[in-house]
Amino acid sequence: MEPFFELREVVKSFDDAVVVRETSLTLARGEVFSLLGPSGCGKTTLLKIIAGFEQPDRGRIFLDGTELTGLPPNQRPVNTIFQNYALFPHLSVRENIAFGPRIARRSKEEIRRETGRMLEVMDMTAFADRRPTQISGGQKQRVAIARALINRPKLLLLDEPLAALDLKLRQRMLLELDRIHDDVGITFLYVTHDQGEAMSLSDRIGVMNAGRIEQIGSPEEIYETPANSFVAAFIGDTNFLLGQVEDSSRADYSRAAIEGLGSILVYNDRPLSPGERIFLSLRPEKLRLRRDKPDSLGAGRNAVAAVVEDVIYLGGLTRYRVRSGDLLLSVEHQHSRFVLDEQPPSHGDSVWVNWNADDGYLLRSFNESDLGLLPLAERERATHRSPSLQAGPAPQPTGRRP
Amino acid sequence: MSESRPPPVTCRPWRSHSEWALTAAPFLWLIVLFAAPTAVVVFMSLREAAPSGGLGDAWSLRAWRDLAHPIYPVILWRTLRLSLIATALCLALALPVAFLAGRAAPRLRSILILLIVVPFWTNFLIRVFAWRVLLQPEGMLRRALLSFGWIEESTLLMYNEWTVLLVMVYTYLPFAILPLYAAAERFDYGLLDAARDLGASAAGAFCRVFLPGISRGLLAALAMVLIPALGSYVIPDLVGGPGQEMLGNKIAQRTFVDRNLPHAAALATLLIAVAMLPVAAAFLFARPARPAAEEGGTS
Repeated sequence: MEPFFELREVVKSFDDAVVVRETSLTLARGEVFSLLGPSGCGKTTLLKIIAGFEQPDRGRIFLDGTELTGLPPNQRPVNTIFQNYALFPHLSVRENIAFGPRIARRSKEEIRRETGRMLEVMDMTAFADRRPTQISGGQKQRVAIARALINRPKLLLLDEPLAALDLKLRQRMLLELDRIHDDVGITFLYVTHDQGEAMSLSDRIGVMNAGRIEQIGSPEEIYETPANSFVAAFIGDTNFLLGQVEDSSRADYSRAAIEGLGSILVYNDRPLSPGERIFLSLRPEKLRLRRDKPDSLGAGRNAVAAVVEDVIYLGGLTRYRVRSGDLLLSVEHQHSRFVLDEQPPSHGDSVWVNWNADDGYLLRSFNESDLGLLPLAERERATHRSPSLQAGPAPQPTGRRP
Repeated sequence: MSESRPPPVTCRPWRSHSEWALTAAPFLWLIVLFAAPTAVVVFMSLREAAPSGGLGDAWSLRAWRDLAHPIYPVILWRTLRLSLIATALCLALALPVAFLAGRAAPRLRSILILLIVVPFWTNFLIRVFAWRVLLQPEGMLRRALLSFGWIEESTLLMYNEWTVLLVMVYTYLPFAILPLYAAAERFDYGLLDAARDLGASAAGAFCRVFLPGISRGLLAALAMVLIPALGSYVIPDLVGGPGQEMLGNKIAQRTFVDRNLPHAAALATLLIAVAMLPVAAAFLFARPARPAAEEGGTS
């Protein structure tokens, strides 16, 4: 079956810089798809190409059986929610919403009715005659959504629509966007650099980096089975363990020598052969800390000795940084029970880190520069740099890298 | 909300003091350089003309009664017509320039603005004389056009209304470009994308979003061009013929040739009144743009 929306091998460059490389993408009708990536990864350019503000150098765009390539923005059944809302300052809220239908020369009666309905759905009736400068950020957001949806677009593009809102409002608007999508069933293409937004809203996510979509999958797939170190590091926090396969005679687990850590069990996400280089991503919440060495490890469990270097209490969970061998590992403990008497591990304590070998995931490729994306990476560099301000050459950052 | 928390009292006296001090200088400026001279002109128009060319000692309405002369409706109409056409042409030419300059790269912008301002470094009279040199019957331009056979021997490039309009547009165009550019520079061109996205054509977005977005600049440009245009007298004097006399020329003639100061003053007062009309209109139109809260929806 033909996909509802399709980008076919789209390429775009400005001057000599390639911004979008050979990108293909298909969306199903009614889907919420997020393009997630750091700023400058090309996601906004891709959105502009779909909206018609930029023309691709190569490639084609199809929507619901018709080709959009080359059409001007006003002839595409696509509407955009702009990052800064782009409400018309000289028009009232009501006139802003009625802008599209007026251009389309719908009947006065229809415009009045539709605008009224939109105002009601967005809970903005009381503010209908205000100017955009006289309403709050969240209200502007709702007007922008109403102004787009009233045209009944086949595809709604959302360009970082929540970036300008504060945290609480962002969370509320996120729920609201979800509700709106359930109501109207329009296909959403959502562009964001915020993984939380992408994860909570999307049916599927495309993680973009340097003009290329690195991986497409459901939020769970992206999080649990990242294709490479970029996806693993950009979404959430992780530990990278690099090493070499020692023994792959068993069907389920192999044994691998991890640089700076030692020998551990690794789950065979794919067939491994001895001597093969592996890159393992191990999410912090998969790791457990214990004070005593586990007497008998269960099948497929790993345990390594470590020393706690840092404890960050975050309420719902505590984040630890522990040093094991040459590695700094990031560990997260969720507080599912309230036990004040129990002494949690603290700075300097010796602990055992253990985890199920199945909980790691073998990356297909690893790029050292992706280490910079990890939440603790910045801190680490900062703590190493500060003494060098006083004296001597800076010590080499050891990092969690072997 | 505001009732429960009155503004801090301590800062009131300071504010009113400093506000007063800040207003005093421009206020004085306006009184000395604008209100007083205008009052003097009105006063002069109400005096008797002295045979010597100065002002007489008695009050008289003679100068105002003389304005009933049949030449004046003709001249007033010509002044209005030429000024309005020149203003319309200036705005039409300045809009695309402002639109493009407003979205040009910052470096290019400053170059464009410099190019627009450069002519001001030459004296206005000299620039109009330059047009004379260019357009005069024995001038290079006419000779060239004649040799190509594009104009006839009887055609003059000067002493007609077209030339007056041409030089007026040339003179006042920067005054239209600068306020429009200032408004366009502050305009959020992303709004045009939003309009296109909502189905507007390029022209539709320009008219429905860009023009209202720079409405204040438009009003400023209108006033900045129309008012001096109404007062032009050097241009019709230097490149126009007897049939292109404007109100300004009459004022000059009454002052320097006829030595009838009250008459000249009455004409000047009339010109001020005419020029005030667009200002008053601009003021009325500009008003609702600020407090929009009380406005009702238009749909």
